[in-house]
Amino acid sequence: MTITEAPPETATVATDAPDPATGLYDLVTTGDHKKLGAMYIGLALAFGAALTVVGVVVGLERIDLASVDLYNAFDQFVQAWQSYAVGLVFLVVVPLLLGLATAVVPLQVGSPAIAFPRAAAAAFWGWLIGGGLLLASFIVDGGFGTPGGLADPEPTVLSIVSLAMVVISLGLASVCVATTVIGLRPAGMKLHRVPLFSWSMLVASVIWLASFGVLAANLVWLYVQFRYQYGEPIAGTAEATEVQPGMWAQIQWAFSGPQAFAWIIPVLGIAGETVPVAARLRQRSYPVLLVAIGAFGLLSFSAYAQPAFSRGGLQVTEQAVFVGQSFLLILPVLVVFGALADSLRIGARDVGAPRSWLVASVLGVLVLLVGVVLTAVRAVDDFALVGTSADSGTLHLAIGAGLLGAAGGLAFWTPKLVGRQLTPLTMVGALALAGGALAGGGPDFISGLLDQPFLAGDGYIADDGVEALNLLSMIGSVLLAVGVIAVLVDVVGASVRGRADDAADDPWGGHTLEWATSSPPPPSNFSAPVAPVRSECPLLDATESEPDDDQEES
Amino acid sequence: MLTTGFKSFAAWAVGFLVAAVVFGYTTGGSSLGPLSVGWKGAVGNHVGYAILLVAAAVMATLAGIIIAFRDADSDAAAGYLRVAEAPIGQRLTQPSFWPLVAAFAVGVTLVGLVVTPVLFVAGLVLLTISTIEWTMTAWADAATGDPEVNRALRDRIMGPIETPILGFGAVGILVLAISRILIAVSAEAAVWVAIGVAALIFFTAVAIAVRPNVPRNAIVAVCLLGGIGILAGGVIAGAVGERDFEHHEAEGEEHSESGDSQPGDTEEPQVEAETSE
Amino acid sequence: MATATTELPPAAELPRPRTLLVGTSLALAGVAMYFAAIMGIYALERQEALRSGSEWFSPGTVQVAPGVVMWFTVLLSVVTMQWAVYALARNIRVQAYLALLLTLMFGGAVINQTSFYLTDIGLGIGESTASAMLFTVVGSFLALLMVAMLAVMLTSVRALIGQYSSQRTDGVVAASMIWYLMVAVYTGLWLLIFVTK
Repeated sequence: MTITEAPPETATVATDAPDPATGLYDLVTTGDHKKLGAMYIGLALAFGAALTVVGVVVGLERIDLASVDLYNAFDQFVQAWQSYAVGLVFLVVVPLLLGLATAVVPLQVGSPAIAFPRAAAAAFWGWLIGGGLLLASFIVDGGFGTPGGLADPEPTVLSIVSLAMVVISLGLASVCVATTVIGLRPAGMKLHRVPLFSWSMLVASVIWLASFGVLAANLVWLYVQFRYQYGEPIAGTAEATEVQPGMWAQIQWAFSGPQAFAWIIPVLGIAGETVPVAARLRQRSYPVLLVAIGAFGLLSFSAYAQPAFSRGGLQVTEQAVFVGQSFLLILPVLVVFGALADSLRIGARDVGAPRSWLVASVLGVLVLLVGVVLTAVRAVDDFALVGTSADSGTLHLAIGAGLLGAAGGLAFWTPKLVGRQLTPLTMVGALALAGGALAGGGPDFISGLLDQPFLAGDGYIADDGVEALNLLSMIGSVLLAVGVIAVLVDVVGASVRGRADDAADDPWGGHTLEWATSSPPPPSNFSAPVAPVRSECPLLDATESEPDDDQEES
Repeated sequence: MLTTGFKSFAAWAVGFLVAAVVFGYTTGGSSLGPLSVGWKGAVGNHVGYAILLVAAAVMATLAGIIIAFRDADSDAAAGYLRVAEAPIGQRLTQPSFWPLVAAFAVGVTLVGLVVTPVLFVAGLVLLTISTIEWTMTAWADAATGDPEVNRALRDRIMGPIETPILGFGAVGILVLAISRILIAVSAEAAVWVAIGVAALIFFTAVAIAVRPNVPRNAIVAVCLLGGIGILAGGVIAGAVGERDFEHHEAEGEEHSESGDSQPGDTEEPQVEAETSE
Repeated sequence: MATATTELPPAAELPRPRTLLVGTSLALAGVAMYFAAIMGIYALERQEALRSGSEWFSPGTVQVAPGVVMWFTVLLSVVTMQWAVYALARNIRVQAYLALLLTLMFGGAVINQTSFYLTDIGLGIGESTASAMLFTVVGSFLALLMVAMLAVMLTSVRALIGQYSSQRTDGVVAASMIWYLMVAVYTGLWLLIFVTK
């Protein structure tokens, strides 16, 4: 065989898209971003349905704080809460948003594929396998340390390494999405003309990568401490007790504000995408929205504020940077909310009947706004809210906003991905999610003001009204579960039914490139080369230039 | 002109840098410590300061890289390649098992960290194999513009390596599985299992030899079923454990076996001194 | 005499020149943050130990000399790595292969020196917080070094079979980026463990 040093000088031809395979073989070998995205979405919603039910059981347990009723011990209750928090962030919200991005972003930037398709596939499988191991580790008595130190050591180590695998896989998926936004844009689509969802995913990916790196370091250090520094801990012994209570503290930063809001940065992008389409106008002050989303990314990064490593009497969460960041975080959300409200006001006549995607994405921003305001209040030292149930309250609001944003995005783009619109069931789901986020997070925040500690129980004597607030919070968890299950049922139903006969390629009058191709798109996304882009709304440009062309012809 | 990407990453860099310095001072840094990266005094809380400072450095580096690439714009790529229109950035790749295998290998490696070093090493071996295969597939995909030629190129290079390794691997696993079965069942049953498996292989081979028109799919199905059956038997036998062996001391006495295996109490071979009383 | 002609398959489309480099930069950003956090934890634990009056390592455990030798080894590898990129960009292929080989050799030397050092100091990983931290930080660095070496090896193979040339250098440049980050991490590690002690 002759090996040439340089490719032969012949006319280049485009490598044909591979033959579309079907069935199981296709699923396990595919590098098609649309299929990978669909698998992320389906599995994340399925995980979400299961984990929100866990949340309901945790909520039920919290109604009566005097004793542990539904679990065998307080440690088990803590493990269940940890599986709920870790699972909802890394197995549901982040993969749901990443799945949506994996499916949609290449279409938005006019690319035939996602950057590094096989790496994207490996990231998906790594997330799925890691996520499966993580859930399995919780089922067999693992977790991230318990107050009594009674968790089984080997499953606990499995929890640590499997979460590391999940985090690394999501990091790899973020690299693929961010590279797609930066490196695969068509002619004329400068970075400031990128659709808002793609931009928010670029911001999110960079912030997530920075956060994942720090979380991976925490997990590696936990692994070494647990495995070596304390020898081989035996369940129930002093050695195990010595290390286990401190484990959760080392990763808790990832599940409380403002970092909890870093996991849902794309919610702003989804709303920025849907509102101008509903209002049938170009978004005014587009660059301001780009800056606001970028600022939100910067201000939500709080991986540096690790209470477990606060020494010398100085709590990092009481310092100027943390407090200032918690307050400043409100500004970009207000800017985005104001700009979108302005669009809805101007285009009010054309909005028509509220669509589920518009309702869900706007509610997502509203819940986010409530969440960041309460996070700012939590940062005020005088209220002494850090370490109280306000921590779980802010996480609840962040997760709720993330789920709402994802529901809005799914309702908006499902017609593009499967050729069929979602039913009003998603609207019901969105309303349940909004109610669940507010009812779940708000009462926890108020009970934090009443000094209910984070994960109270095991002999805690509650103030008046705390248990009633916990009951309300449990109802919020039920609503959250109902919302996730409703969206899951609707999305699966639309996918199974496939393309509707009367499905339009652009049912909403979209502004960006994904609406210029068929629904669902062909394997290579676009049947014709993408024309040079002149603004952030290439399809509006095309529509607006048509009358001019006619005039020229006449 | 400064690009959008540069401005974004540079703004983040400045934000993180300011946060690092302020954080350093508010968490106990000395007068010059946070400004001199700890060279001239304390920086305060090391964890937070290091994370914020490196975040600033990372963003500054990304800003430098992205402006060097002019935001990796299509126009900039075309200019770099000196062509009128930049090539399509990424096309859909051919289907491949290797991403799944690589992810599975990482999972096995991590479970090995928890359970046993054997699994850890097995995961690393699988990860190495999948990395090599992935690399060669990626190379072949971009060898020419004809996917058929690319596939043939890949097979021509990797075939002579893969076939013997896969062959040895498959035979090794089957031999291991059969050996587990043979040492799990009683001594007498082991003889019958060995004869049965040998006869099954022999007569299947004879049947295929005398009926050359047997459909290929049928042969594959029979081999697959047989392989899966032996593997399943091996896994079950491994879980049940070995039958009781009576190990004699080094005087060269013959082994004697006590017969049927007892699940649960056979994980460690028992020496004669303990059992022959 | 009959002339046989063989039609060559069409050349593959060149990829966009920056895609792989952008992806590599982003992935390395996450890696850099990992090392920032783990080294920050090391510095904090050491500060706490010293503040409480106990010693971090017993005298003589951490000596400057082995750290300096390893640091110079990784610094030398920067030269060879950049030489490989330079030579490939100019299609001086023999030099490129030689430079890649030398880079791998330096990488191997660092692994050898580090493992000798860790054996020589005779600390058990779980002996104290200091030794657990040392093994965590140095072990993480070794993992990065091995990934960098794997990247260099794989790009060397693809360069050898003709895929990387002056027309397409992105794979080798990406491998060099991983290598330079490894060197930067080692420099930080050297300052943290061997210099500031």
